[in-house]
Amino acid sequence: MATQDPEYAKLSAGGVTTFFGLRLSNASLWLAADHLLQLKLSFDNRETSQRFYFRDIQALILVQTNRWQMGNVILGILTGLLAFIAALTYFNENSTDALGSVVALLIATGLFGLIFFVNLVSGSTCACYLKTAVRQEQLSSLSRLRRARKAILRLQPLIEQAQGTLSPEVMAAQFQTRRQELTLTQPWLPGQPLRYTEVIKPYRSRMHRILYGLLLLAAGATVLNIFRPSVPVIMLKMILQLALLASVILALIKQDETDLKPALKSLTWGVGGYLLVNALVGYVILLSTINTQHTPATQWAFIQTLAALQPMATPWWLDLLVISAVISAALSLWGNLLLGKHWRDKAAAPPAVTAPPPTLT
Amino acid sequence: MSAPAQLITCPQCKTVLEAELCGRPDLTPCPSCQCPLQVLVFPALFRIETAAQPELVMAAGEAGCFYHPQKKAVVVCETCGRFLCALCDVEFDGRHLCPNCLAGGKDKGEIKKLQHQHTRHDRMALALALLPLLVCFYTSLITAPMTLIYAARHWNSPVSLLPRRAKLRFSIAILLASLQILGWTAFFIFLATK
Repeated sequence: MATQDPEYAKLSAGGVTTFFGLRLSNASLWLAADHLLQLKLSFDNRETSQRFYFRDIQALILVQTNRWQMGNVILGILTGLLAFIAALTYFNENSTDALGSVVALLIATGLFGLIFFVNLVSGSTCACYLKTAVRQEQLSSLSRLRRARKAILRLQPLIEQAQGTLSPEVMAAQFQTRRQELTLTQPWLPGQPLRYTEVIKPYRSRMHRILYGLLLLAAGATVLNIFRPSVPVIMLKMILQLALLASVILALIKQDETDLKPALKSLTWGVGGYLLVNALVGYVILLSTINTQHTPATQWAFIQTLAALQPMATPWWLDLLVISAVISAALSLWGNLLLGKHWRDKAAAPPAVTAPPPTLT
Repeated sequence: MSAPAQLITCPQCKTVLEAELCGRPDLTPCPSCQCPLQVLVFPALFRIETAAQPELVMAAGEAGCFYHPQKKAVVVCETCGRFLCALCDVEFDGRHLCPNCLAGGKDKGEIKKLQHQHTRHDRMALALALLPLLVCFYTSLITAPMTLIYAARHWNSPVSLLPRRAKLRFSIAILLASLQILGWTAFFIFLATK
């Protein structure tokens, strides 16, 4: 018989939202008389528990994330696109083979539509952190704002019952003291928000410059493909696509925990998402277009088929290329502007100083 | 790496947050990265923990700590009976233990509260029974008997800290595995008679 602990009451259960609302691993929160229990179930069916005693909880931090919006946009585009292709196939093809493709496309549309709907009604995403003296742990099951707020409303009185409450005056005084202590040891730019610089490294890489430069080249290659489709152009596009994928991965690694502007960091994540969606959408459209002609047997034949596709004669291919070129150029421009602003701000900023120690009275 | 214990930083940009941002009922933008956040601070943030200071053995005849003979013993380990100074005394779950007994209790699984990982044998058994149905049915020839053995072996093993419907999952796994074995038996009998 399993060891039972009847004093636990469920506070929250939910998946770790890691991929557009799809549950990849389970996490749940349980309340006991004097502590909060977090259970995480990994892929290999190992359940790990963490206890947080109410008397030790220093803070609860809730941060709203943009995964909900991003998920909605990406899933919405995918669902709409699949539905569009299904409708096109249905109205343009009359053979029985096409009926199978339409059914398959409709099933895929329904699947993505369902995930989209679930994501939409689940509401905004967030990350909830619990801070103790020794660690700051993310409460993975509180990944939706609505659920996190409900859980915090239940948790707050229990923690205050164990520790008492803090008056705003005491809190302000204590924060002031801590801030003064921190400025004794941390380089601080006057007039700037104080950051814990031990975890913030200065950004020195050129990876972002390369990435946003390559994006501009990719936009140029796409424009060339629209007007002069040929084997060298297709090969150039493929090489650029690979280089972009490699450089976006490297840029994401290089920007981690650096002082690069948050907007630029987010934009780089956005570029990564765009490249994936672009590749996926391009693949789906190409398959549906090529299938109507003939299926290439080798990689070389595939490239030749691509080169033979006349964008001006294939409206959907043309639309995709135009959208791709515009987005690539816009992202490149935006990224380069932000990068330029980052370097200008760095050059203009006064050197970091350590604040003088407070006068003892 | 995280910020010092008494500081609250924005999880996104690591900017040290001010008191005005804490305790607000709604989401407020971080002054640095503008990401909306809500911070609740509790008195434990400003509590100063002091380490126990063991006293030195002053007079002859006073018991010394087993691990630090020059320090005065203040308590006896409730597991091994060794004398412990204030530094070596670990009060855990209402008991006084020495660090060795605590570590040993954790490793051997004797102290239940220190166990932080369990294998969910009920889910493993169910996965073993279900996987062939989803992936390749022929493998059930091997996995079905394995499921029965696994479920029987772990029927009484602890699977979680919480009350779980472990027996239900085990029962479903056994039922599925039994049906698979029955199916294979019928198949082989059919082959033999044909």
